[in-house]
Amino acid sequence: MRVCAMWIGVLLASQAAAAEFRFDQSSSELRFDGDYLGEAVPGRFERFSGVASFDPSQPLTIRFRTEIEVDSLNTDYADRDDSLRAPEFFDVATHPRALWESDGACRAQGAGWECPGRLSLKGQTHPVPITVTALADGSGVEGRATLDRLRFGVGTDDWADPETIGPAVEVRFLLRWIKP
Amino acid sequence: MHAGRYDTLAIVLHWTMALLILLTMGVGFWMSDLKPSPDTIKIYNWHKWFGLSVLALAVVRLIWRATHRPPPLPAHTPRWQRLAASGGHWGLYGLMLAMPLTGWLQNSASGFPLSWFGLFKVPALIARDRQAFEFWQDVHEMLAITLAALIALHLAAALKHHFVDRDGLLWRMWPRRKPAVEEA
Repeated sequence: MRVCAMWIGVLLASQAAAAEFRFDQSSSELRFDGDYLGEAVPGRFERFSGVASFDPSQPLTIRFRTEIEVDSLNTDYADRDDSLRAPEFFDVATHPRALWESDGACRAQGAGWECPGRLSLKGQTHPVPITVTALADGSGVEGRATLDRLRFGVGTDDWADPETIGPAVEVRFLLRWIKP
Repeated sequence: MHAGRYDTLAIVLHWTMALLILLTMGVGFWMSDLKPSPDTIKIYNWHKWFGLSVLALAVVRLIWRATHRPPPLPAHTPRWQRLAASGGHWGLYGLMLAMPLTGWLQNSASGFPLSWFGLFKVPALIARDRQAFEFWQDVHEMLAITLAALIALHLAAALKHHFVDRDGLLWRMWPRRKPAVEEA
């Protein structure tokens, strides 16, 4: 597979053995689409950090660890952001950080990989797999995940009503390594 | 046949819009202090749906106005009253368009999807933007207060003509014709 060959090429060129790569926050993106009355309302987290570690001889063993500062959420609208920071949604005062961590080997899927992992958010941890593809220029990866906000208690009481805000949240990310 | 009466379309538009505008404004002033909740979202949506309906009707109404002459004012109407009536009416026409349009702009800047009674999507007029939202929110609010004042003046003028001047002006726009007894 061409992408995988390129990927391995990049890894071999940059590192000989297992290595850690940090994400460059300024050129990386972490976005989400909430479902509001059946339509997508996009938002993003502006501060997050993480590393990917892998052994170039076994790329499927790649592991990710990403820490997200939940308070940095931004949907371009002050009232909505305040609501999302409140206890009914992310409760950023009590749970300022979210963590996504790999917990097993990836498996090849189409042009990319599907990687198992766990998301810790608002005091709860549940499996949330991600799908990842290497960027063609070798500068990083992009990928996506779908999660159920209600499993993490994001939107309690009246806000749990799935008709106003749907339970499924689409997450998309673009992670670029800091150039060695 | 009563001369100097608005035609049926104009009368239907006037009263339908009067009802819709008062409802939309009432909900608008009330909802701005509500705490965020799914019910608040529903109330906001009703406000938006009513407002968009006002906009559609205002377009029809302005087409009517551009193609018809309103019945003449009583011959003895002083010049300042003619000017005030004309200015007030054009102010109302302008706000019938400007109120929904600034609400639509405000909603576009907030990034909330917009529909008309959930039946079809209404596109955003401008991109999501915090500053644009605050600007259009302020304009929408100032225009709402202006509109409330103009409606109060409009109502006061209509009542004065009817009960003080007793010049029958109100019958131009009343849904029923002037009773024959009074006409005699």
